[in-house]
Amino acid sequence: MALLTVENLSVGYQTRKGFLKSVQGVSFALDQGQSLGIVGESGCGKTTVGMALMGLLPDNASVTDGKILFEDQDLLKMSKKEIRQVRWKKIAMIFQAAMNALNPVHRVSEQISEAILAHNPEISEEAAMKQVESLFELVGIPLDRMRDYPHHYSGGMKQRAIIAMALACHPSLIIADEPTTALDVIVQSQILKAIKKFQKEFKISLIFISHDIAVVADVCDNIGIMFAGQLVEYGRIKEVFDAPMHPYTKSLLASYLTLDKKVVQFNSDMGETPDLINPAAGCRFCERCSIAEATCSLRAPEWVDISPTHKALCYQCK
Amino acid sequence: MVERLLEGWSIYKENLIGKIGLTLLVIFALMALCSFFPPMIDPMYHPMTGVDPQISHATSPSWRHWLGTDFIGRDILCQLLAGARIAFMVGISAAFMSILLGTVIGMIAGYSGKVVDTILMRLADMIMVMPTLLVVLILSSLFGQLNIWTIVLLIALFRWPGVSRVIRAQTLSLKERPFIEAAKVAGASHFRIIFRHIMPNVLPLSLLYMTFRVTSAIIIEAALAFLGFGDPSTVSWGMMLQWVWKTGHMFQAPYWLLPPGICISLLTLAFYMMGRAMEEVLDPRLRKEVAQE
Amino acid sequence: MKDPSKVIIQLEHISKTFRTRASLFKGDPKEVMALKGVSFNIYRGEIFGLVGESGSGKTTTGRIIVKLEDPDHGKLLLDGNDMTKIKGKTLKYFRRKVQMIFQDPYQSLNPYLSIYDIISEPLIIHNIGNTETIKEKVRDMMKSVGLAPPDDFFYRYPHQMSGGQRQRIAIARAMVLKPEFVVADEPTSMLDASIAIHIFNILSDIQKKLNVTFLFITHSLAAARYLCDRIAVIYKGELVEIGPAEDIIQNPSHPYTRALIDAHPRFRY
Repeated sequence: MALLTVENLSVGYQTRKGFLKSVQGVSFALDQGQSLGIVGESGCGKTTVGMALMGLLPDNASVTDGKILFEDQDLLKMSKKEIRQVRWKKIAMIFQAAMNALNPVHRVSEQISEAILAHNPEISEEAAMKQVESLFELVGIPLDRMRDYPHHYSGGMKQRAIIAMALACHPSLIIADEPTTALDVIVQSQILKAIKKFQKEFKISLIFISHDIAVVADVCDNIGIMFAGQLVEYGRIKEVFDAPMHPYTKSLLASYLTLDKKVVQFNSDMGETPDLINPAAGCRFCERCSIAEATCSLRAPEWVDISPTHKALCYQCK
Repeated sequence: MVERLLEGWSIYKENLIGKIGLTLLVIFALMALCSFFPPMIDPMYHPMTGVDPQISHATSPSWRHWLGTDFIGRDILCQLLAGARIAFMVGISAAFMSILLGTVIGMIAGYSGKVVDTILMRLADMIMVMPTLLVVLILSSLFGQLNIWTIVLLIALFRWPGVSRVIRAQTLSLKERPFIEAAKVAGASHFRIIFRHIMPNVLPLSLLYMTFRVTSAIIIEAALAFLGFGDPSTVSWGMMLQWVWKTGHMFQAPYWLLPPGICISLLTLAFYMMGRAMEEVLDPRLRKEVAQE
Repeated sequence: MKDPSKVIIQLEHISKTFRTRASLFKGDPKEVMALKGVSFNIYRGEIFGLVGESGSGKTTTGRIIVKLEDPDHGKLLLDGNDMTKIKGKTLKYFRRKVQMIFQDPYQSLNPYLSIYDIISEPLIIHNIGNTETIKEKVRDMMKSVGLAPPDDFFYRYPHQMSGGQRQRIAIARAMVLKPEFVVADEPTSMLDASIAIHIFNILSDIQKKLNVTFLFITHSLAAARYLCDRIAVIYKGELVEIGPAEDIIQNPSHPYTRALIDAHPRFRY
């Protein structure tokens, strides 16, 4: 039984210029202990998916379709109170630059123990503090820094403290939205190692949202590529990277730079994000696609199964 | 740029307070415009010199004089209309001048820093603590009756410090922004940076403050006129109040007493409301709707 | 293109210290030595990479070269001439030759100026040409950075443009004077990884077309490897390694460089 099943999720925002269809028909499933990376450029809807899962959509957003089944309960049908019970205890979130989420006038250890006590009022303060200690060890913050204030911490340490706070209530699912984007390379690699470690140790499911495909490749088992509000390719990391099918995935993979690949001068589409208020009827990637045919812009593309665990939203990838 | 103004307007439109303020303002503006007509219809309607041959004392509203007449038979409605004109003139000119002064001084202080900044801000402090009304009263008692434009100038000279502080703060934060550094790297002179780069970014704030300054200018002028230090050759609402009081008609002629007082309150309220609504346009954080990133 | 005998920019023992202010939350004022005696040469026509993490001093180095900051000690030389303490007309002349592309495309363009105003401004400041020739130059530059057709963009404003487009405008602005040396300070760190490569390609094309020398400041060794001829690695205000890009990546000698290389995400597939 899958821990999380998202079925045909569609979310839009009411803006001055019209209704922006930010997420359209996104479906995926995640078992306990699995990790999924959601990759796409700015504006593709990946953060909206994360926020919808946590029930943190802003006031002008509305879910127009779909279900989010977490442990067989539809999160979208829950009241605000019920969602609050689920949030943090079962599902925790790590935001981008979440280091600014730490209250500057309280000691870090206090903030984390407060979070623990809020969800487990029956345990004592000492027991909570002991838990904080073990969490700090897990994320790699020296214990003698526990009683410091947030401004004494570096960016990387603050992010680690945020991860500790997310882990504090032993959630079954963690949603990380660009958790390492604001950090240096060396710190980033340490944080990613920490995330992988606790994910494997506690069998926590992880959804890792990022615009950087290299980072996701490092951490996740499965990957979903999003473009213009839609999921365009989905599968196991190895499959998708070895044999990318969707033209957008191919261009993403070719466009990021590592130290391993041979250096090749790269020239590809230089497109802008398509209009999501009045999206095209056919494939939304048409304008930037190198293998687009006339029919692509007229009919909405359908999913093509490349393997039982790998699918792509494109007619041309058979 | 036009698109931005239109967008600003659509946000403004949704604000109830702004709409009320704007409506009131339009009414008063129409009044001011209409102030030219009555004397053209009949010289007895002239606010200062119009004298009705049949009436030479205060009378209550009648068909001839819709709001009645003052103590020497002049039409009150015409005076009210003329007062609207004066209020706009005084309010807007004084506000405009104080904003101009305050913005330029604020930008220069914020941008230059150090000595220039300190000198200008200490000057601002000194002026700010002086009670405007009192000083103007003293000056006019020394120099006799003041001309309306002198009053406007004095209001401007005493009101710029408040604006300059805000503009200076804004300039300080803008100074560090990358686009200012980019202008420096391109070789722009200080003058160019202040007037081409910083000014457009502080102008919205200046204009916002102008609406608040108008309210205080109108009130100061009215207060001066009421206390007898206004320009005796101009008819302003404050002047009207002075005449009511001086001629002992305070409690006998409500048709004379109430209109100017109500007008002063409503006009200042209108400008204030507009200022509040404009705040919402200018500061995206105050808007109710948030567009997604 | 590369002329080893022609050094365009020389830094000699540059040091810079910043003093932080005392405050209620931050304790006593501290002195931070951003740069400790940094020296290196950049040759005409090359793309030189300066790689380091935040706090390493790489951005300060860039700012000193474009004279947004002055060093406490040391010398800055352009074509062999000491530019450390210049002012007035000499400074303006320097500015024609040395330009900068800033990191944040959302903050480096004046929101109240149109695209045309932004790109034409350097030409107006230095009194180059009349309105017609300025328009032509701006058009040329916009085409070089991929903002075509240029006239469509002339009267638009930054907030109507995406991050990638804004950075292209910033590049056009920096290049419109046809400077000899340009500092690109982490030009893609605020952009998506997929857009970054287009920006790199634009920089590389412009470099070849105009024979400009670039100082490319970045925290990503991978980006430096893609774009640069030579790389210097900077750590806590000191240069720890310098040499041809491929050499440094294949045979790093300093432990910090090795740590940086190890930390880059691996592409195992």
